[in-house]
Amino acid sequence: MVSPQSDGRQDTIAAIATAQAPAGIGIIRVSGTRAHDILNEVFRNARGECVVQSLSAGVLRHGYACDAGGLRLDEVMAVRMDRPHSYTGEDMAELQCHGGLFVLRRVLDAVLQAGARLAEPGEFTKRAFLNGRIDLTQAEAVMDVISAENDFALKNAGRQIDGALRSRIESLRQKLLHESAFIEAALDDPESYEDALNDYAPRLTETLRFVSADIEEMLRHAQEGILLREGVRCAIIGIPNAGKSSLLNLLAGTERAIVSQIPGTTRDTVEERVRVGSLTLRLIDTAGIGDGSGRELDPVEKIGMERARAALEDAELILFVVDVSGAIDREVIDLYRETDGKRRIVIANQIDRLPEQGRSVRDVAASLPVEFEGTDAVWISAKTGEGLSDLRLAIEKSLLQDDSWRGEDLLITHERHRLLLQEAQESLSALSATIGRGMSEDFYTVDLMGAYEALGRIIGAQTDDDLADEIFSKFCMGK
Amino acid sequence: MDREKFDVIVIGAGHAGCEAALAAARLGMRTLILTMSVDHIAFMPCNPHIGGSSKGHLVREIDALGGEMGRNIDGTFLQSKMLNRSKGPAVHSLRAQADKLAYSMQMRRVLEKQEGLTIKQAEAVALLTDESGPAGQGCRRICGVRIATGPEFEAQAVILCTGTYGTARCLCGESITETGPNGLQRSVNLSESLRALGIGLRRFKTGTPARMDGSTVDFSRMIRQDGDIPVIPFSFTTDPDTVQREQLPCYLTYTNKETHDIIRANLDRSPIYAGIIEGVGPRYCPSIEDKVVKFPEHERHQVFVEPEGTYTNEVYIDGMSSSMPEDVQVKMYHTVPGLEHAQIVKNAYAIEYDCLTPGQLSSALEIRAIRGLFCAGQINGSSGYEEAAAQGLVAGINAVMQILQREPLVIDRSEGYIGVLIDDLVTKENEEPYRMMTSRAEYRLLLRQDNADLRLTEKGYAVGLISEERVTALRKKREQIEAEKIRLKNVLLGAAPEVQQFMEEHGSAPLKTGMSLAELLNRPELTWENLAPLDPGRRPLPAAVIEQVEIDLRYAGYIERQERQVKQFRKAEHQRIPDDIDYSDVPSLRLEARQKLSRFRPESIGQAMRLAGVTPADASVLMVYLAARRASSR
Repeated sequence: MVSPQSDGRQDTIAAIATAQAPAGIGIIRVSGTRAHDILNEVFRNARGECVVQSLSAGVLRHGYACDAGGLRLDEVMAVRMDRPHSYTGEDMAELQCHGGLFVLRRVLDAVLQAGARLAEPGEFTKRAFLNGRIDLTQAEAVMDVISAENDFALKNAGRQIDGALRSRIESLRQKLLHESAFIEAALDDPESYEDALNDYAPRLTETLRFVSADIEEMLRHAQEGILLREGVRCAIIGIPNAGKSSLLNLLAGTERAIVSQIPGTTRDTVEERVRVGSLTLRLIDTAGIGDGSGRELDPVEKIGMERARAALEDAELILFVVDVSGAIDREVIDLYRETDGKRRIVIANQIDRLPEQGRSVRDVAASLPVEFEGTDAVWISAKTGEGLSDLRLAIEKSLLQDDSWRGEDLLITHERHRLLLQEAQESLSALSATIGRGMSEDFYTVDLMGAYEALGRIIGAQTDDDLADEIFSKFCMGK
Repeated sequence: MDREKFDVIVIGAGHAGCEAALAAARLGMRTLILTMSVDHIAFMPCNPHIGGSSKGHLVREIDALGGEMGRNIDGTFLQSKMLNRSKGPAVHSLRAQADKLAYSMQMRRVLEKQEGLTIKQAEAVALLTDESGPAGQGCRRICGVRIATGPEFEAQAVILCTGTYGTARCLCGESITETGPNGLQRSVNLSESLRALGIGLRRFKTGTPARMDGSTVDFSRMIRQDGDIPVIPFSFTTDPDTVQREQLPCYLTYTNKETHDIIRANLDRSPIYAGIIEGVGPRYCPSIEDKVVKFPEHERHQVFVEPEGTYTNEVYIDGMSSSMPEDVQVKMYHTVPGLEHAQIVKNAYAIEYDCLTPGQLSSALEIRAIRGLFCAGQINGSSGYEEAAAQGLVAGINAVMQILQREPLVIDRSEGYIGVLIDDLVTKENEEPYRMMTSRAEYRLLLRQDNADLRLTEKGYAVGLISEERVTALRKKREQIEAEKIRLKNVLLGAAPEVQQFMEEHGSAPLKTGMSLAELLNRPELTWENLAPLDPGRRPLPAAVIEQVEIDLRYAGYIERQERQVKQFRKAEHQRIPDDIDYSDVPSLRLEARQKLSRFRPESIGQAMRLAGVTPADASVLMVYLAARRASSR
């Protein structure tokens, strides 16, 4: 919950608006009732004078950012924006600094000294939303841009900011509203509209078919869209010492997990975000699950295994690692069975050891236990990196059935949107059933309005009390 | 001068005033009702019917809360019909043709017999107020009324039910008369007094068609329309046997091209189209000129010819209200089949009157700025007898609740059409007289005329207008409904030969698996009555119980979906906005939203969201502010 002060109008916020990495230019953004006063305190022209009052809104002005003692921190360009004509709808100011990261932080300090508060993640967008500058989908999209981890997510978020989703949803809502209004008019004045409802059902069915098809279209690639934006929960599962951590390191390209010969080295789950093609994997390395082959398990190891099982349960994709250089015994098979019904890829690891054993991949493939028959195992060596590109392809293929989503103008990338689209779709099917049963027209409107409202909630045109929670959950997350 | 003391004074004895006065007196208040003419109590200056689409719902709700209208029409109707029977139960609507004089006389007798109620023919000319609370910062409070002849009366609450009398003007073509409806005396001084108290007024307009001499109408050229047999009474307390009496017919005829040509040729002489009338008329009860102008593609419009009473030959020409000059009216009416030689007894005319500007009322129907001043009926911007009566009842109850320092009666949009009506009057800037319509009710499937008693009787009982006996009967009905539904769900039928034969005889598909009687009631061809041979264990039940059982089971899926919507709606309604909120303190509100909220002062987030000009984003700003305020006061 937001504290009263953080939403007070006196509250002016500031933050570094550009990536906090070495770059040619860095921007500090200030928003709130005191934004102009604060700019006035930190910005001086070449003669050391305060000039903010004379600045025209939206015009860049050259000068210097100074600390409270008047010391020049950096040569900057300043701009003021007047409410409501700014991103947040409040008075705003921006300082474009030229120094490095260190200087940028000193200028920010000066701004904070002058009375601003450090903005919370996404707070500028939150204010823009609360001031009615952008709607909920646009706000969500901005948050997406901030947190986008791949090109695709960024591009789609950009489309959403333009309001593409909103306009598509709006046009469907208009159609539903039109039908509803027609029915209501006929019902309210039965004596003059008696004939109006003759042959109406087929006409309505036509409209519903259109709306429903469009929703279906949006839903078709929603699963992929959500995976693309949110990333895929992906658990690496295997018995102890199958090479799971090595696999994580191979995919992540870093020594993220500790690798050792000792079974049970990974005690807890380790998570790493990894790019695979268009996808972001939230790769979870788990403790090996097994009886320890006669070894006594320590309590910590047991907890690790419980967590591994939880990760398995939760995962959208399982990378099931098998050490094919060793024996594939009951323990492996039992664990494999535990993953039945989940989306999974079998990874035949440690093929680098096969030559020394005088075996080939083909030999091993032929002698795999019957439980693995028909699975398209990916043969790799996590140690040498052999087979990595095959693995990447296999992961993409298993999550994104085909490439058709790439042709979509607009992808649904939020679970919230997907659920509401589904809800609208359910209302429309209920309505079709009502028509099919030959019910009278006054029963149509329940589900017609049900669909209308579900669509409205996607774009924030329909508010319910959950919205406040929605907003808080949305804006308090992020980076 | 010594002021005579009352608890409640009702100004006006139309449909709102009668309900308000009866409610107050029945709740034990010493009540005075003032009227311009005691011979016109509950007068029907416009159409001669009570009920109709959605208005029938209002009458039943009024009855369930302990109002009078339903009983009054049950005793005085000439014809009764359930409209929309071919549709679902939610849009069935009862409409009865009233004997206007009998209706008025019966209501007058009810008022006269009411203990604690004083009737007085007098024009109220001024409202008397004083300051309550500490000097300077308290709010203004009503304390009485002065009448034209001089005397003042004291009261703790005053209910304005002035109808269309405030500074009224009647227009018929170029002729303007400064009277209330039907030539009755208008009121001028009261509007002045309201303005002096800072109450905003505006002008609304409505109209009524001509009345004709029935002996000059050729009914053989029209389509006869008879009432229903058997008649279903409006009031839940009326014994259906008492209303099965002989009914009078109405007649249907149509306008035609000739009618429309005459209207078009004379539009420049219509006071509305010529710009003489400044008031805004209702879209939903359009004059024939409006219909012709706005629907040029319609070749004809329906005209219903309805009796005004048994005491007169006069018939009401429903569907052809007009403010055309008399010579045009005569020509126009004479083009309609059956009216070729009809004699006009009373001309059609338009009437213009004062009503409140929006934003001044609370959900209790009290003017927020003046404690104890309640308003009901056309002064609130509504139209229609039923709308007026519903508000009168609620205003009467709430005046009493305030005097007794009890919570006001507020019916929400999911509880009744009355709730929808009042919420719309309180939150919307209606630009024309507001008429009830089924489409205004979001939760229509739950707000049926058949279950008004189940929805509202308990509320009427809590207020004190419903007797112990009546609420006990209601509770028994509810129990019987629930018990029967459970029983029907538990009686299972297998695919026995006699069952299959029964299905075949009733044109119903044979059973494939076992089914309960409740499931069988989902089939439109089967009813509780005709399932009797398959249900030897049943006990006889009242028809009203059977009706509810059938509706509940048959439409269960829809009712459940609607109930889910209501749940969502209630969440926003239950987020109350404190009375003392200062919108200039709420950060980030857009100017328009800030103005709207300050003016209408909504009582809940739900209500705030229904204000035009308050966007979902504004509502979220408000929710965030209230959440923060609650957090900081904790």
